[in-house]
Amino acid sequence: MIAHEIANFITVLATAVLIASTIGGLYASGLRLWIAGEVDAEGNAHLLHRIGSVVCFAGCVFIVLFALWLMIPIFH
Amino acid sequence: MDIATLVVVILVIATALIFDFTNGFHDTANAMATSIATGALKPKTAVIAAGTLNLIGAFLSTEVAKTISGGIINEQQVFIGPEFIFAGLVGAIIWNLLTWLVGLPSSSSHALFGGLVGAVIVGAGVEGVNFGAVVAKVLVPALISPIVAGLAAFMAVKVIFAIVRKLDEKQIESGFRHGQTVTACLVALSHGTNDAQKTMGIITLTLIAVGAQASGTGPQLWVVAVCGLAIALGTYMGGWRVIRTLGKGLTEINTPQGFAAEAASATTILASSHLGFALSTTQVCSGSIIGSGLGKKGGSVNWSVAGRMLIAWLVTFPAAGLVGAVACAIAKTGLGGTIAVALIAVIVAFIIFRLSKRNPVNSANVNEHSEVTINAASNSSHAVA
Repeated sequence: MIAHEIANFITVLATAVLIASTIGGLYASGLRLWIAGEVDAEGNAHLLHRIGSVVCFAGCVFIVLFALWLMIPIFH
Repeated sequence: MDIATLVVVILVIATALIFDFTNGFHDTANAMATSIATGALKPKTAVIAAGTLNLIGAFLSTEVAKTISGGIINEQQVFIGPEFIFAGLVGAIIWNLLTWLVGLPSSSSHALFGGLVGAVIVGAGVEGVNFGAVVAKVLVPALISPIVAGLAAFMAVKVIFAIVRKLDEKQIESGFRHGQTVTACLVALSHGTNDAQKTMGIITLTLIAVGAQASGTGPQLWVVAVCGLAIALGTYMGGWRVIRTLGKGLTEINTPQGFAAEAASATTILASSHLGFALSTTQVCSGSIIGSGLGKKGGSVNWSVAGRMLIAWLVTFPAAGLVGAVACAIAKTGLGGTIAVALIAVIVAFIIFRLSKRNPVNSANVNEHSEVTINAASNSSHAVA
């Protein structure tokens, strides 16, 4: 019983740390890439940075939608 | 149904809705304190958003708790009369109001469980309480919740600042503002889907107990609606005293830290509820704010406030239990006793509200100080060191 509770605790801890760090990392990367993708003084656009940024933000959106799916019982 | 039973049932429903109101009122801070503190959302906008999401959340989830107390009370072995539930609710409401007065976040669920346990011990004896469940569902989560959420927020802040360290402060602040708003809204919605259910369960089980509703049926639409409205209204009113403590009293945070704290809270709440290790929302959110404060280089935490919070968490269950026990001792004498408890509760609530007027905290001044005191003269304006 106690071993089961400890296993649950470790699972919750690992999941929380992993997902919170992932969403934080994705959002921060998205922001950094978005700013790096701005048109510079010479008029050059940095398309790859912008695409990378959109991919990172899309990852965040996916996690938020997954959280909504978990929250609302009628979805599952 | 005789008149005496009808009066008790009406009192239970009214008290359950008041508890629901105080639950929303007390827990607005969980979702919105960091957004208000960092300026990501204006105070009024934040409470309107949180109130609306709590109302929506109440309708989204129709899963009613199968037991009132989650196994803490042996409901199959002892008869839980409406008077016991009423007394337990009174204990929880008084404790919620007291902790609100001193600006301390405390778990409404633990207050409810404590109140019910106190009432059951007086009304039905100690055999009505499952003390193993008290340790597993109250004591252990109170100690573990802040550790789990705190570590998650700490790591998230470390990751964020490692990535954005080359950006200037202004870009970071404005960039994370939108993200923080989204994560705060997730916590508010999660609160609505969980916490309004407790009151729905109490009212439904009371109606079933007196034969006003068929056994095994779910909450009626009017029950869902009034519970959703009560928690939303409570959330909208904003427990500004608790918001100040969580937003400013524990640590000074900026938008990336607020984002990390809310993301860690939402993640921990969802992970724990889906992996069979239920943790308290209040303690999770408080822990994640502490973790986000510690995660930033040079960040610090006001440990005296954190220590007071920990004491409040540990005292919540026995304190609400004591009030619930006294309330039950009076209420079980009959209808007159029940009405007397209701009157005493109203007087105590009135006194607490009067005391709060000595040093009011509201949307206009919530970010002006970091501490909540009862007397305005002793209010400190010192920021966290």
